[in-house]
Amino acid sequence: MSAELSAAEKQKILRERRKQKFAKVGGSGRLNKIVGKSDSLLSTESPLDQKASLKTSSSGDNSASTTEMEQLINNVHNTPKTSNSTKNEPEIDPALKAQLDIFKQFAQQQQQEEQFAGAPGLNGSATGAGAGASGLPEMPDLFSQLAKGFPGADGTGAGSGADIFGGANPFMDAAPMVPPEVVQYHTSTLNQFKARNTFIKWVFILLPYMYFVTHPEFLATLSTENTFLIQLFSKNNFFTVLTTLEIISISLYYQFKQKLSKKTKVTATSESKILGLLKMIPEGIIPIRNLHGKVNLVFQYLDVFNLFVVDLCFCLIVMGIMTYVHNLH
Amino acid sequence: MDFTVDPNLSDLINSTTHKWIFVGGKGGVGKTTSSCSIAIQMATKQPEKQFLLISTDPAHNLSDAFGEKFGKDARKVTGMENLSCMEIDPSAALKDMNDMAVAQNNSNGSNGGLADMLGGGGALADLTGSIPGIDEALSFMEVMKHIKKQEEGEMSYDCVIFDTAPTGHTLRFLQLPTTLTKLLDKFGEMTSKLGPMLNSLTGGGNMDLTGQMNELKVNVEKIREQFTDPDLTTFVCVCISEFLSLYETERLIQELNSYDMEVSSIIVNQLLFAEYDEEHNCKRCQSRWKMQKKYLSQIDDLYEDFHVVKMPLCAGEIRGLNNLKKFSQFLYKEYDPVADGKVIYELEDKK
Repeated sequence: MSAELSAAEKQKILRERRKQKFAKVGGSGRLNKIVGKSDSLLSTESPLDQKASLKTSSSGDNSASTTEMEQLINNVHNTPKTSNSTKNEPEIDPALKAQLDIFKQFAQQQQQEEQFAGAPGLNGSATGAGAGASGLPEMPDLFSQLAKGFPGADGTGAGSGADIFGGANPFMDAAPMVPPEVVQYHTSTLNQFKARNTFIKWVFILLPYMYFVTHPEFLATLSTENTFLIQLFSKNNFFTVLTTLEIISISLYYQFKQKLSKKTKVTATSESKILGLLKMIPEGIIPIRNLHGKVNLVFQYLDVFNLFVVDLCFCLIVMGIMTYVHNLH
Repeated sequence: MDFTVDPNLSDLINSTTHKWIFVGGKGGVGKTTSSCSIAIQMATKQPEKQFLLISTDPAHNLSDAFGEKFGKDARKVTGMENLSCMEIDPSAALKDMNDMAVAQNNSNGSNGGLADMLGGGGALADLTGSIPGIDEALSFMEVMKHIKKQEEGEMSYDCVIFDTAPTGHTLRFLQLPTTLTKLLDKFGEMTSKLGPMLNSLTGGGNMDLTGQMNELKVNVEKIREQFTDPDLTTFVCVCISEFLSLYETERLIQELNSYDMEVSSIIVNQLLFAEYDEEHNCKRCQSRWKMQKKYLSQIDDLYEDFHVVKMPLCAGEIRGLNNLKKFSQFLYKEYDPVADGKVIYELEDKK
C-alpha cells in the first residue's frame, strides 16, 4: 500500500499526523514528557500554547459572566463605608453645606448619566426604566475621583494630609458608587422577574379563572356544598379575587426587589432620572419637605397601579374573547 | 493508512520542489556538518540543478568545513560544479551600502539633510553595524535579493540551503517577515501623514519613501508565503542525544510550528553505537551510549512521524569535501553500525 503512495502524498499524511499529535498532547504536554523524565527545572511553557491562548483571548465574549457580575456585586458590598463618624465631624456652615450638597449630587448625577438608557419597562413604570448601557462616551469622572479623596504625597489613594475640609470630607459621605454594570444587572433581573411573574399569573391563573367565570354552566356542575369554589368563580366576586391576586403578586414583586436592592445596593434614586434630578435640589429651596421621598412614594404607587391596570386589561380582553367564542357555540 | 517513516533524508534530497532548506539547532551539535552534507547530497543526486549554501551564523564555519575561503559573494566549491557557498559578512555588507550611499550623496550634492548631518553616512554605518539582530536582517536581505531574482526569472540557484546560527538567532531571523510587515504598516501610516516632512529630513532627495516601502512590503509578504509553504521550505533540526539538546529541539520545533513552518526531519548526531563496535568499546563509551540510548528512545517516541536520521560520531573531524562526502552518504541511506562501522575510521586527516 505504501509503495503506491508518492513521496508528496506520504509527506502530506505525515504532516497531518504530526499536527494531530501536537494538537492532542499540546506543546506543554510534550515538554513535560521530556522534562519530567529528567527531573529538570526547565520551563514547560510552550510557544504553541501561548499562541493558542492569544487567539482565544482576542475572540473572547465581552459580556460580563455570572461570576464576574457576582464579583462586582461583592466589590460593592466590600466598599467600606467611608462616612466619618458624627463625633469627628466638625460643624460646617449651613451655606457651605448646601453648596457641598450640590456638589455631592453632581457627582452622583454623573454616575447616573453613565447608566441611564431611557428604555421604558414592561408597563412603562419609572422604576422599570431600563438602565441599560448608555451610549455616552466615557468621560473622566472628576467628581467621583474627588469623592474618593485627594491623593497622598506618594500619589496613592486618599491621603490624610491633603484633606481640605479639615477632617470631614462630605464627598466621602456619599453612598458607595454602584458600577453601571451592577445597575444594569439589577434592572434586567428585576424585569426578568416581572416578566416571569406576569407570564405565570396570566397563563396559569388568570386564563383558567376567566374561563370558569365566563362559563356559568361550570358552576352548575359544582355541588352546593362546595361554597368556596362557587364563591370563587362567581362573577360578583371577580374584582375581589382579582384584587387578592394582585396584592399577592405585587407583594412578591416588591419582596424580590427589596432583596435584590440589598444585594446590589441599587436604590430607586440610581434607577430613576427624575428622582436623581430631585435629589440634586437641596433642602430649603422648594417649600415642600422631603420632596424626593414624596415623589418616590408617588412613583411606587404609580407602579402598583400600573401593574393592576395591565392585569385588568388582560382580564377584560380575555373575557371579551371567551364570551364571544362561547356565544358562537 | 500505515507506513513506516524512512529514517533518512532521501525524500528531501531528491525533492524537486524545495527552494529553501534551513538547517538549525543548538550550538555545537553539528549544524554546519549537516548543512554541508545535505548540500553535497542534493548537488550529487540532482546534478542538473544549482545549489547555494549560505551561512547566516555570524561565527561562520563554512570555510573551515570545506577547507577553502568563502566570502559574501557566492563561489563554487572546488570539486563541485553545481554547489556554491556564501558567508554573509554584516560589516562588509554595511560598508558596501555605506559606500553606495556616500557615492550617491556626492553625486547629488550636499542637501543639508540627515545624511550630511551624520557625516556622509559613515557614522550611520558604524551605528547600524552594532545593532543586535543586524546579522539576521542582512541574511534576510540576501534572501529577498534571491526571491526578487526568482521573480524576474534571473534566479541562479534552484535551491538555497541555510546553515543557521544557534537557535535564538535563527528564530529571530524567521520572525523577521512578520515583524517587518507590522513595522512597514506602522511606518506607512506615519509617512502618509508626515511624508513631505520626512523627505525634507532626509535631505530633500527624490526619495519615494512610500513606493519603496510598498515594494519592500510586497517582497516581505512573498517571503512569508514561501517560508510557510511546506512544499517550498523545510527546516531540518539537528541535535544530539542528550537532555538539553532534546529539550531545545522540541522547543525549536514548537516555535517553528507556531510560525507555520514545516519541520519534518531531525538529524541526531554524534551517536556512539558502542555495542556494535567490539574493537573500540571502552567503559566510557559504553556508559555514554547507554545514556544516548535512553534519549534515543524518547526521540523515537516523540518524533514518530518525523524522519529521524541517526548519524555516527566519527573518529576524526569531518572537514574537507572528501570527508563530508563520506559522512553525507548516511543522510541518503541510513547508517548501519554493523555494515558501515569501518567508514567512521576512514576519514582523512586534514593536514
